Amino acid sequence: MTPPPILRVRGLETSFATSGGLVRAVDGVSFDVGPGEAFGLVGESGCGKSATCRSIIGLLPGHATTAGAVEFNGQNLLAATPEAMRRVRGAEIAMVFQDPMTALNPVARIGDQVAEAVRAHQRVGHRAARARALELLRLVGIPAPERRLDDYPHRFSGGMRQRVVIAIALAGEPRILLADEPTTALDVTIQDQILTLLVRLQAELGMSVVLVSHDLGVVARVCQRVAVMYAGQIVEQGPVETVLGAPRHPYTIGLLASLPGIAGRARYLRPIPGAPPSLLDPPSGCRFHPRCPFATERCPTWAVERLPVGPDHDAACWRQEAIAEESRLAAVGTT
Amino acid sequence: MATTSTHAAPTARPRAAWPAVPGLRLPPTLLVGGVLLAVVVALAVMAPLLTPYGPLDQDLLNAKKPPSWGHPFGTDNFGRDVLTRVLFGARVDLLIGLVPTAITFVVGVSLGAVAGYFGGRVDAVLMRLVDIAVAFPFFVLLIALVAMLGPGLRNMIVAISLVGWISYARIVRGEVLVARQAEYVLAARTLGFGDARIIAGHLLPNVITAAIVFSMADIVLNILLGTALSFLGLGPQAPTAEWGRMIQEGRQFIASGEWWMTTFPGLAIVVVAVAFSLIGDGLADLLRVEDRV
Amino acid sequence: MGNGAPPLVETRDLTMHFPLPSGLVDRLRGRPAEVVRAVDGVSLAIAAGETVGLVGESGCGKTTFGRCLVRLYEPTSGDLRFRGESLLGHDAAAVRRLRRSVQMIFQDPYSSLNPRKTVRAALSEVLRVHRICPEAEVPARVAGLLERVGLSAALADRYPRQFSGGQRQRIGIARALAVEPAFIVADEAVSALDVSIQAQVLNLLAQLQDDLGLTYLFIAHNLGVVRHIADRVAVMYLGTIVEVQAAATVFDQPLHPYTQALVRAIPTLDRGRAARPTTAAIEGDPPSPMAVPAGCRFHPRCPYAMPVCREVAPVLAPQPGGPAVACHLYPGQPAAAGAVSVNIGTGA
Repeated sequence: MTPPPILRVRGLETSFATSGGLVRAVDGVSFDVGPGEAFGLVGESGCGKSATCRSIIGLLPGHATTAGAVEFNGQNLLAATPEAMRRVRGAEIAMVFQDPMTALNPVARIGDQVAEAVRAHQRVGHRAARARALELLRLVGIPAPERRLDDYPHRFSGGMRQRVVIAIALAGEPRILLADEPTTALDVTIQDQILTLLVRLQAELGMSVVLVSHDLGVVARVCQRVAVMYAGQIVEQGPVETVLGAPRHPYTIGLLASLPGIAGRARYLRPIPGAPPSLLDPPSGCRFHPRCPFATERCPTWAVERLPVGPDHDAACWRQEAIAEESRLAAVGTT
Repeated sequence: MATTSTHAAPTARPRAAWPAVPGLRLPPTLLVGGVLLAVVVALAVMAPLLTPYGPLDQDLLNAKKPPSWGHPFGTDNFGRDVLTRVLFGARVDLLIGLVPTAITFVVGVSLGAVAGYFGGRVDAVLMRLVDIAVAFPFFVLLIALVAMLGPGLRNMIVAISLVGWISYARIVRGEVLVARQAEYVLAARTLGFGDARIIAGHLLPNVITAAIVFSMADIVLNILLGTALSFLGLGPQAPTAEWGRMIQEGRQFIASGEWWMTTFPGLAIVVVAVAFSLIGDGLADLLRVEDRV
Repeated sequence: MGNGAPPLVETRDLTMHFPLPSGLVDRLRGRPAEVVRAVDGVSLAIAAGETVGLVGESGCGKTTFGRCLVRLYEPTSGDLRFRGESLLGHDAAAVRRLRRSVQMIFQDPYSSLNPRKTVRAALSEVLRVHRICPEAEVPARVAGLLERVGLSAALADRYPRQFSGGQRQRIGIARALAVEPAFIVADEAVSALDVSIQAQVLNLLAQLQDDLGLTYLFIAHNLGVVRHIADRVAVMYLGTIVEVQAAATVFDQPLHPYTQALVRAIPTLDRGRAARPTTAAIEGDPPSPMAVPAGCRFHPRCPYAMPVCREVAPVLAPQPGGPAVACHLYPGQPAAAGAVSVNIGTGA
């Protein structure tokens, strides 16, 4: 049997009060992350993947409200006191943000910033913290770190800064690393370096990683399991190979068909028609039905639930027979 | 998250809840300031109808009289009606506020836009000029200019205009330097639009907000400058009814208790200053909302 | 490339250097101003009806190159030809003709439209400035342009802020089409869009090419997008083109070590091949275009670097089967400058 999950998210709801009304950014999201597992949350902008990530670590703006449960170590983090949450943050769950250019203090030396993070979690002296900082910078692959300790962030490239940000996140020896689009601001070769680093760290430190990305390829590069989000809900979840290789939700299927340069070199892609709905007033029933080629008159009233479709694989779509038939025909067509 | 979802929305979201004026939504500060200014302008325009006296009519027998039914603001040391002089003074002071501001606005915005858009030598020359002007204390420079040109209303306006455009040029140049890199400006250039069309039709409408808001404060500043110069005797000469001049003339009687000669023109300055400040704040709100993309 | 007709667009040794502002002290001491060598001798020919993808990482000069083509920048040196006719120098009439034939689609759908103009005002202005059609036909032409890019003409009186990112990008395309161009530079035209919207816009671009016979230079950092849309791919590194090859083959048989690294760095869905490797495709950061390495610009990061690479800058040399590559690993490169320098190189 698989070991019990280290993070259990159950029925997470996160809403933002805006001038236009209540935006239900996350609406009933549930998933587990196993110890040492890399879990991907993937979807387009506004689907709620970042809000989910920030809800876990309690970094939401003041106008947000949450409901449901985020269980870590048997503790519901959503109900935790600010004091308890501070102890969890960094020491148990750490976060890496998208933009390495703004994540570091521009007027503090790199070594001091990492050492400060070390001392925030461990009662060690200045010298020991600095030694640990050096170790962390070496761990994240900064070349000749002993010579870079006293440099300021502006002397570092984007990729090197993101490594420093990761070093700071690792300072508290967290058991879960949340990475919210950690490579979106980086070039493809630098992205590859950072993703390689995440894979290596996860393996070497036995740490769990929750990777939020809009890029299916990035998730496939790092994660073992993936959840696909659409309009605030998880529509499909399972092992990366199965979800991306044999998707069972029309949205995942459409997303894969939209990817240029993947499905051979057909002149025209098969994009999903229309645009994602407003979360102020999402469609009834299955939220994807207005854009779905498989939709029937039942979809707008279907009580959405995630149905098991394979080992550790579920999809929130009741038209599994039609989808299976379609993919069988597609397979016949290509061979 | 919240912002992304508004992007997806096909129509603009209703703006913040301001009192619903049919057809347009104005910030309350703009409304109050506008009404106040309209009243001041109306009083200045209709001054001859509102008072039986002329601004220069002397009545030495009734000099230095405190406010009464016949002279609600009292009379000055020549027996002139202070209310009448305040009303007629509004004409001069609004002129001092508006004319130099209009001149400096047009000149400064144009030069700033040209300097920011073309950069290079044009920009360098203009900015050195600005540096020189800024190196002098503003008021000292102004006094020197008026002293050179000779005192009087016209020369005062000329002097304020000669110095005042610099602020506009700096504001607009800074905004243009940023905006000219915006892709819509690059797009206009690739579409082969002329420089004049790009500056006037594409850049200025997007950068002028800051200059407009500043100009409201500048009107107040110019009125105060005008009154200050008048107070120093460099503005309109006696016996012109002008608030700064009135304060200067009345100041010698404050000690002897004849407060009305200075207080009422002073209050008039405050009312006009508040009106333009409110309008400035309101415009800033209004234009900022319009800018919201 | 056809033999008879000249290419639609051709650059020869196109160079764009930006001088950095130098301090007064430096100038008094007579120090030469530092320059950013954004584009450094690029020769590229694009045939009519073709789509060339230009890829490379940020700072490689691909955007600068694109902007030189639409004459947003005045190139420092080199030649730019359109239908065989040189366009550099100051022939105002030729530039104006070019402006109509060469258009650009920009990256950021949120800043590429003037926020103070309605769609109708923006499109009408283009039609009027270039006198594309009689005044009476302007409204119909605007409606036609919007419909061509898949937007309802009923939306013409809205402001850009009232549209979604994908819709704005369509408006930007309509604006470029208004002058009936032959060649469009698409600079990261779909990079800011979500996958499903991106696919819609890519299809629109393909459709427009099929209908109107457009030629594209498609600048992108996303290699998947380029693989999909381009006929040929040019790879740029630090201001120079290091490889040009057909899109159908370049991703499977990249020649230049840099192209190989780029292709390997693409995160793919194919986990059988990728299988979460624990080594990166290439280490290190690209050097600054202010301090370009001598010899081959890629040699400090290149796993195959040889002594000659430090000495001699490779040229883009044609290879059997069509591709061209600027690398000493392949035939057609100039020899080392002299035996002495080679000896120093090998001795070091």
